[in-house]
Amino acid sequence: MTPNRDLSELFRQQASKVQERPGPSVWRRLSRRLDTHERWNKVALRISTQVVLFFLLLLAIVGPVLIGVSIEEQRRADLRNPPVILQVLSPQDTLPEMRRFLTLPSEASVDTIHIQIEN
Amino acid sequence: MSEKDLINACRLRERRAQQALYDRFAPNMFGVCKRYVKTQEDAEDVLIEAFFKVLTNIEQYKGEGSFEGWIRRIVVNESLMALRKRVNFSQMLELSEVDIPVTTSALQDLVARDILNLIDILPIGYRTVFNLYVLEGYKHREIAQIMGISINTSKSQLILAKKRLKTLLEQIRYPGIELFDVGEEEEEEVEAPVKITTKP
Repeated sequence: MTPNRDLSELFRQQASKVQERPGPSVWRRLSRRLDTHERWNKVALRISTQVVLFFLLLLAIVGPVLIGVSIEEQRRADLRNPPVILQVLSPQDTLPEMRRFLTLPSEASVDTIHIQIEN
Repeated sequence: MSEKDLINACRLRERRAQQALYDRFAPNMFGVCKRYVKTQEDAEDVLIEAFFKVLTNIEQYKGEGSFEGWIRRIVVNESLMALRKRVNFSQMLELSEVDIPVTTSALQDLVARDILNLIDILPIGYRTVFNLYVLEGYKHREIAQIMGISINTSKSQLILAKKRLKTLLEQIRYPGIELFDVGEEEEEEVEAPVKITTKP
């Protein structure tokens, strides 16, 4: 008789029928493992939440103080070095009304005033 | 409860649903574990590890393909990991090329219909390749990748496993064994095996 059936098929058929219930201790061990995992997850979540809250609180307290200090520093610096306003004069600035602006009182102790006129 | 409801309940970490899922699939999966690892204790350890991964990574199952197939892949992966801890497949396969004779007394303990027990008699390399290819439907390319061997080694191990099984079946005078041959199977292009990532 010529063989015409594949041996693999025989084993596949048998394997599909195989069922074997593991002992009851297996589920208990698995359940314990899941409990530990969930407990650890909760602890990890609580810790990470606390860390985030701590940093938010720190930011809420320290933030305004830092901003206040920075503004005060800026104000003091402004007082020490008042801002310099530069005015660029043009030929039009020699108009009588502008000249009035440039006229210095006679008692002024300034020796020379240099005025550079742009062409 | 339908399978979909069960999966959804397991996603919510409901312990009763998790137990129901375990009860539904564990008997089949335990059979799979036992085909790879020999002792009852090792098979139970593998089953626990596999179901732990199933239940804690169930969000990764997107509903594509059969759920049982998804679980089975995890179980097979876990079984192979357990095997890999003990043996180096690439070294072990060279040793298993040596044909170790099986005593008739060992075969006498077998019931003819319980031919799956014959797979346990095979050397570990034959057994693993045979299980993966014939019973799990993996392809030689995948088996080679999983076991760290060449595709040709995987093919030769399969042929040798089949020949050995046929001899064993003849020895126990399995009815109709003369009708079976050790056929060649065609390699096909297939998707890569499921990759499961776990959180520490």
